[in-house]
Amino acid sequence: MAKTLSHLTDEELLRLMLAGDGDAFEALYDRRQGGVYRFALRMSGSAEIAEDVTHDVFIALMRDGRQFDPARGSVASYLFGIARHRTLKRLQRERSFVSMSEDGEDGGALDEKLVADADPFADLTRSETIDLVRQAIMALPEHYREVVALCSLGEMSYEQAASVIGCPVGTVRSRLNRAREILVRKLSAVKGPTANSAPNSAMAAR
Amino acid sequence: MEAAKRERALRHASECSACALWLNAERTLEAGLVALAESAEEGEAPPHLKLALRAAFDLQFKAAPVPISAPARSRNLARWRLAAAALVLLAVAVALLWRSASPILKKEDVTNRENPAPSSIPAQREQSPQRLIEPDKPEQKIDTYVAKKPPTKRYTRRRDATSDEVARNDETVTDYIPLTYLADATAVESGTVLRVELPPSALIAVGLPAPVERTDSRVKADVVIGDDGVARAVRFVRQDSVRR
Repeated sequence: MAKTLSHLTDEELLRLMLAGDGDAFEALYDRRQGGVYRFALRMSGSAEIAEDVTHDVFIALMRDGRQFDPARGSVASYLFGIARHRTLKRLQRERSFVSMSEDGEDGGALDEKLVADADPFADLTRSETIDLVRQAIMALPEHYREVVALCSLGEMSYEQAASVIGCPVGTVRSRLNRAREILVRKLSAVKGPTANSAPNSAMAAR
Repeated sequence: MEAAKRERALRHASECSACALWLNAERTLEAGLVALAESAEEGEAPPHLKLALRAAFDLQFKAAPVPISAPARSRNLARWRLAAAALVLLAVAVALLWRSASPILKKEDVTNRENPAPSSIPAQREQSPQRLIEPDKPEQKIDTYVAKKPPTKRYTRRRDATSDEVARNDETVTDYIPLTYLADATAVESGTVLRVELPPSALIAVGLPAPVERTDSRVKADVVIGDDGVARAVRFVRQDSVRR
């Protein structure tokens, strides 16, 4: 039944859902739960938190869906906005993940892996690369991590991400640039000062 | 990036080891991000979550359709607003009446001094020289009481109705009933208590039984008016002296 509703837009599904149409709710859930779940997972690094956040997001949609204002953004942005709020709240409460410093001076296990040789990725398998990138993302401060999760991994436009976060588009753009710079630095960390300083000047020249 | 610039950058990277490493890291990051985005293990919420949410949806939207019925809600809201507006209007009317009745009361006061009250009046009432009590005319007694005793009282926080000092010994009062058309009905920081007279239908409006004996009589009530001028709560007063 839900499949027959797949041609409807999110707004139409939401309207039907709020009128008590369970199939519309399922269709909207099927369409959006993956993105919400992955965003929460990438932000928290915990499947349990991601599951809780996804649950909370759709419960909030049932309860407060009437507050959705199409003039302020899409349904997806609305859902991601709730997900972001819940995830950050949960992370604040649990504080189970501690950000590494942006300079990478206390890089810990991740940097130890990355400073092994001049080209640490040569022998990495795909899954190892994923693990390293995931760890590097998890080590980012939250405000950088969320733009990476939304734009680089969630395939959202800068405008959509700005709507979710509630900040100007320029802020998203600059945060993403800075986040990528930090990630590249973490991934390119090599022994000796030369390797770290040269890329910085290269970045500055851009 | 333009093709020429790109070509130049790549040539430089082939000569500069630091930039080559940086470029390599950029590529690895990009590949890692793509791989992470496509990663199956980063997939979707577990299936049981969908079942749980669907059950919650059915519970909310089928078992309790009233909360999502906007017209019904707005009707209730309108009723409460109407009742609150009526209370406020009555409060203002009583206040105005009290002001306009002051000269007459002075006359009554003089008359009363010429004919002092009988000794059966409770001592507490005698302590109030302005108060006029005529046992054979209960209706007049009530009006005079309302007029002579300024009913307003400032207070800083809503108090327990049972300990409220506004209540007198000869009165029986109900608990304060919040006017729930306001979400923060009980959160009034400061306000004024106004003694008003209401039609018996006001009792019905807040879910109390209306007096069956005299439907044309008025019911005394204390209305808590917040500093914003909105009525927050009401309690009903029955004067035992009148009852007797």
